[in-house]
Formats: sequence, C-alpha cells, structure tokens
Amino acid sequence: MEKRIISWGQLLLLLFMCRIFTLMTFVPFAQGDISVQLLGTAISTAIQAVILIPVVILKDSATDVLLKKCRPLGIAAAVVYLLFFLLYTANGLIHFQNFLSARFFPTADSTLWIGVLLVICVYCGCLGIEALGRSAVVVFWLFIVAVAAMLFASAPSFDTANLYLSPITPKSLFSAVLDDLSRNGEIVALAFLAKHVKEKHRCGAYGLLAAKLLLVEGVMLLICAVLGDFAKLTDYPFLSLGTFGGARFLQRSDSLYLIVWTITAVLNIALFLHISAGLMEEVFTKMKFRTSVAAILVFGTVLIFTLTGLDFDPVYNILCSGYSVIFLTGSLPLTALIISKRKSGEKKNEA
Amino acid sequence: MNMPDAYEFKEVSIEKSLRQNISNLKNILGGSSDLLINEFLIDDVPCCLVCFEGMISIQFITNLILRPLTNLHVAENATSHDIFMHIRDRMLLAIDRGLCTQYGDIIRRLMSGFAVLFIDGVDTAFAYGVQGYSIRGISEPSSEGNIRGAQEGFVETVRISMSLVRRRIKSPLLRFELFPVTTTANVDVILTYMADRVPMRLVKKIRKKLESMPLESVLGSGYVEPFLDNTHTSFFSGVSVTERPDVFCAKIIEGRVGLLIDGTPFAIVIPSLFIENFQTLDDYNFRPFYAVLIRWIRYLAFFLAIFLPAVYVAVVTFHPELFNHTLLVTLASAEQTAPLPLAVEAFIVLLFYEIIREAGVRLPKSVGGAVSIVGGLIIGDAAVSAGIISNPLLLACAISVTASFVVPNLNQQITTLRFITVVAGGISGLYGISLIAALTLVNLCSLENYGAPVTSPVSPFTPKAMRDVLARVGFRRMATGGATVEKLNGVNMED
Repeated sequence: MEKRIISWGQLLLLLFMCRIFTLMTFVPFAQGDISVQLLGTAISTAIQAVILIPVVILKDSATDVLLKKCRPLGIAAAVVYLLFFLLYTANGLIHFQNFLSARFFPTADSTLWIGVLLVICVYCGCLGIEALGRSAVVVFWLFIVAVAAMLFASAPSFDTANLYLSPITPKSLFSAVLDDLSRNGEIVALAFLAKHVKEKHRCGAYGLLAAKLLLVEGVMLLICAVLGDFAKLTDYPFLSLGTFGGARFLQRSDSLYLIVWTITAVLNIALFLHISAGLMEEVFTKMKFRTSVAAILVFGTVLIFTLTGLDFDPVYNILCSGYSVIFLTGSLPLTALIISKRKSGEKKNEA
Repeated sequence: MNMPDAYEFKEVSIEKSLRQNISNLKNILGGSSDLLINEFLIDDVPCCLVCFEGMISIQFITNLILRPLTNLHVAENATSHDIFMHIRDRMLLAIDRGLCTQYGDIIRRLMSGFAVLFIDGVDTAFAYGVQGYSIRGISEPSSEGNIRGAQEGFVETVRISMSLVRRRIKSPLLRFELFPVTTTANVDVILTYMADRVPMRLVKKIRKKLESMPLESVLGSGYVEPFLDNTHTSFFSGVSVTERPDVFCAKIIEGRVGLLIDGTPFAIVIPSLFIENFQTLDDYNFRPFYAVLIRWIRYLAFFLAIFLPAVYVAVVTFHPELFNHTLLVTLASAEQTAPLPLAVEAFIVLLFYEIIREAGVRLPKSVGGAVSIVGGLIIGDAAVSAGIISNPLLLACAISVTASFVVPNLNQQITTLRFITVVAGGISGLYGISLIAALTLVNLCSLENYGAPVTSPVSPFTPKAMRDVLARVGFRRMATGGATVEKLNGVNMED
C-alpha cells in the first residue's frame, strides 16, 4: 500500500466515526441490564488499552514488520487480517441493510441499495486515506450537531428513575465485555493505519479509547434514561432516541438521522475496503482493482446470507468475536514486536 | 540559404541587407494586407519602419518616431553603424524600446503593437512600443459585484491589468514574469507573485506547466485552468478565477501565484481553497458582526441551493412522517392535483430555469428582459394555474435558484449537483441524497493542489485560520497573524 500521510486527529476521528456506525445497531440490553453494559464497556476499554501497547510501540503495522522479518508468517498474518476485515465489513453492511429494510424501505429491494452504497464506497476507498480522514473531520461536526439536537429534544423526557442498577453476574459481565470487544473492529484498523500518521504521538490512540468510552457510556445512559424499559423492546434504541425526541415543528425526526448514519456508513465501509485492498496488495502483489475485488467479495458474502436467509451473526461471532479482536490487535502485533526486537538484536550481535 | 517562412522563423537572425529583411518579413507574414512597410532615408542610408495597421497609434508613431527620424542628421557621410549608434545612444523615442536580432522577437513585437525600425547594413532592429489598438476601458467587474469595494476590474489588455495590480501592491517584492505561451498564438501570460512569501518551487512548477501546454491558442482563462489544476479529475477546482484586482492582490499577498492572461479579463489564482468561494471583499469592509451574519447566510445558501429541491422531493415522497400534521395536509392538498411525480416536476422546473438562464445570457441585452418576463409568466403563473406544477415545489426551486446566486463561483457545481440530488432523492429519498452528499464530500476532501488541501483550514484543521471561516477576523488580529497559505496545517508546497 502506498504510504500516505494524515494527522493523528484525522485518524482518530475516522475511527471514531466507525464506532459511531456500529453504535447505530447497538442494543444495550442484548446482554443484560444497563449496569452490566456500563461495566462491561469500561472493562472492554481497559482491555483495549492494554492490547494496544504493542501497536503503539511498533513503528509499522504488524504485517509489514512480519513480511520484512519472516515472510511466510507475514503472508499468513495478512490473510488473517484480510479475512477479518472482509467479514467485519460484510457484517456492517448486513446490519445496515437490515436497518434500512426495517425502518425506512420495508418493501424495496435493499440489496440494490447496498450495491449502490458499495459502488460509492469503492470510489471513496480508492481516493485514499487522506480523503477519508479529512471527510471524517467534517462528518464528526455533523454528528455533534445531530447528537446535540437529540440531547436537546430528549432533555424533557430524561428520567433518572429509569437508571436502576441490577445485580451483576460474572457470566453476563463476561458476555458484555466480549460483545463490546467484538464491536470494536476499528481498533484492529488502528493497528494498520498508525503507520500513515506523520506525528510520533502514537499515545493519541488512548484518546480514541477515551472518546469511545465516553460516547458509548453516554449513549447507553441516555437511551436508558429517556426510553426506559421501551429500550428493551425496540430494535434500534439509538434511532428511537432520535425519533421520539423530535423538535416541535417535526413529527418524527428519525429520517433526518438517516443522513448521518448513511454518511458514516460510507466512511466506515470505504475505510475497510481501502485497508482490505492494501492487504491484498501484500498477499497478491500482481492483483489489480483490489478495492473492487474486496467490494465484490463483501457483496458476495452479503448476498449469500441475504438470499439464503441464513443468520450471519453466528458466523461473525465465531470469526470476528472479541477473541479475534484481542488476537489481531494484541497478539499478532506483540509477535511482530518480539520478532523485530530479536532480529535487531541478532544483527547487533553479528555486527 | 532558404528564406525563413511562417513555420521556420523564430530563431532566424535578421540580415544586414534591408532588402533581404523586407523580403523575409513579407515571406514570413505572407504579404498580409495589414502589414505596413515604410521605407525612407536617414542621411542617405536606407531605412524602413514596419508595423501592423490598427495596432499602433498614428499620433504616437508620427510624433515620437517618424518626425524625429525623418529630421535626423547624424553627420556628413554617416555610415549605417554611425546612425545605429546615434539612435541607440542618443535617441530614446519611446519608453518601451527593445533591440531585436531574430525574426521571432520581431514578429512577436510587431503583433504586440510595436513599430520596428530596420537600418540597411545593420543586423539589429529597434522596436518601439507605440500601441494604439482599441481597448476596453476599466469598468466594474461584470461577474463579481460588491458594495463597498473598488469598482475596477481587469481588462483584456494584460499591461493595463498589470498596472492595476502594481498600483495596489507598491512593493519591490511584487514580481511579474512575462512569457508567451501556446504553439501558434504566442499569447502573453504574466506570472505574478510576491517573492518573499511564495514558495519558489510552486512558481517553477507552474512555469513548467505553462511552457508545456499543448495549446495553439488561449482565448479564455478556461483554456489554461485544466493544465494548472492538479485536481482535474475532480468535481471541484483547485484554482480560482477572479475579475477583481483587489481580490487578486489579496491572494497574492497570501503567498499564492496569480496568472494574468492577455485577451481575457479573468485572472487565475493558484492554489485556491474551497472556503474562499464564500468570502468576498465586502466582508472586510463591513462591521464584523454583519460580516459574520452574511458569511453564515452564504454557507446556508450553498446548502439550500443544492439540497432544497431534492430534500423536498425526498421528504414528501418517502419521509412524510417528518412533517407535522398541518404542514402535511397543506402539502398533500397542493401535490394532489399535480399529474406528474414530484421528482419529475422538480426536474422539469429546474431544467426550464436553466434554459431561461442560458437564453438570458446569450440573448442581446435589448431583448434579455423579455426572456425573464416570458419565463416568469410561463413557468411561474401559467404552469401553476394549469395544475401542472405545485406551488410548494415551485417555491422550493425558486429559493434554491436564488440561493445559488449567492455563491456564483460554485455555480457549475451547484447546478449539476442540484439535478443529481433531485434524481437521487426521487429514487431513494434521504438515503440517496446522503449517498450523493457523502460522495461529494469525500471527492472534495481528496483534492490537493500543489500540496495545499482544498478543504483547508477546515480539514486539515488549522485553529488560527478557522477564525476567518467561522467569523470574520478583525484587522488587528489579521495584522499579527501574517496568514499565508503555506502556514495552514497539512499544506506542503515544497513537495
């Protein structure tokens, strides 16, 4: 992948927007009550902070290091990362497709809309990491305005009585932690994109963790406080928060938030297609139109599960679970770091 | 030796023989009927004065050149060399004077309104600038109006445009580089910059691009833009065009390169930032609070111009739940009688507007007003009365069209995007509009011209420069800022 340069701020905002995209389909009560979710998210963030240490220390991505020091291992790592990103992108697309079908286009063929979205994402992915990073800065402000409007409209409905703590069991806590980890695929992307950053302040990655923690915890609290037990019944609680918190002159404002979700979807998918294309370049050096090939693979995956009616979640939970995130963000970069240090030590000894 | 002709003459040196020089000139210029060759004697030495009819001022050439030369007496038995030295060292005759030794230089000067003096026996000619061709006077810029700024605009004559810039920047660091471009027409182009603040690599790059342009002629600034714009595959442009000398000078002072082109009053500035399309010189003539208000109105107008018809179509067709009950009933009753789908209605209204606008531009001014009346009657009144178009849609389109006049520099993009978003909104509602918006945003953010991201200072974010985006920075702060394009985050013009 050609090395491009963006600033840390742009990278962090880009990954932050990716997290916002997954937040759209976030169901806080899927794994338990609010207390479990809050604690689970906090623990998940702490785990991410630890597993990011090798990424912060490494100057390059794990696959680049492994390819230089031990090529077979590097190729294997690249294939694993590629598989993860393709499945992660497919998962995001399937969820977005379900989201569109459930809330906006119940009768239309959503596969067509997803196909159009993918074409646009291929183009955006081909424009490079700088374009996506700069776009994320603009979209971030749009998101802030949307959240501010949501907060302002929801304020009268805020009821602290809805915020009650339930007993926490280890099993439910463990599930909540894994669930949150599996939604943080952008951490794996950080391990790749850090090499594009021109500054040396890689500790800025922890700023991303802090921002995500604040966002997720804040949104969870808001959903519970405003919607109460209704949040357990709705499929998309974050969207419902926007719907019923509309301004006076609007009846329902969920369609307006579709703008934010769609633009963040474009950024999210374009970013992962771009990363997948870069990995394909490392594995299949002579391949052309890599971004399009990645998009075709993703679309093919989506089509298979959509047309056959199979549930993608079990496949995703196996291949892209929290364990996968820990392995790809922590273990592989740690392995690359150890190999890199060992090779450097051997060279020094030889010298 | 072969005589030089119209294809091979540029580096051919002139002869000592006057007869030969005249013959060569006639051969190069093909005996053009506007070529004037006047032969006369100075102290019995044959000379001739060559010029193009209509390019020179009869009064200047008679008083400054002909009269002194015909009355000249150098010495008894003066040689050609003596006459040449006398004229060169003791007779100025014109402020703009040059010595030419090659036909390429002579032809270029003749076609720029110079008169060229040949002396028999000397292989060097004198060229005197006695231009007298008709030129348009300095007038108010036709495309960039303002309230409190200067009412002067560039003209087609590049020398006059240069003077407008020089009067405003009285600094020895202001540089003008003149060189002809294009393979056939040799159009004069002036590269303008401030030597203390422009990256010289930028100047070199632009110079190289101009010299390698494969154009035969430059009849407008639009001919040159694609060769200077690194963002040629993009929807937006990384260079800007202005007719105003004050705007031109403001950008030169910020460390950019300007281009004045002979034959067009539109100057090019490189590089250009997207946010500058929303800034006018009037902003700096008004009080800050008013300037801030107007600037935000322009931002709003930009979005209204592109998205209002599309959003209206999308919301009414796909997302009526957005409206409250009263508004919904009003719109439903208005749209109920319209026979066509809303997206088609909107497309037709916008298309008719573009037709009327184009007709108004191309028609002679004497009948231009009639087009507006006819257009307003047909579309505004008759179509609504006939029930073909609904009133709310017409209102939305009218607001959008009016809003597009607020940002004239982006008219091409606004018009095109307006059509695209109407189609997208008509097919898939706000989802389609969002996709187009995302595509446009990423496309815009990918632009980088000569190392300067077009979306600066919004992204990459430069906090100090954002003061002039969100508000209008005061003059005291501007004076301490010393803002140039190079100081923006993410800009690297040395690459």
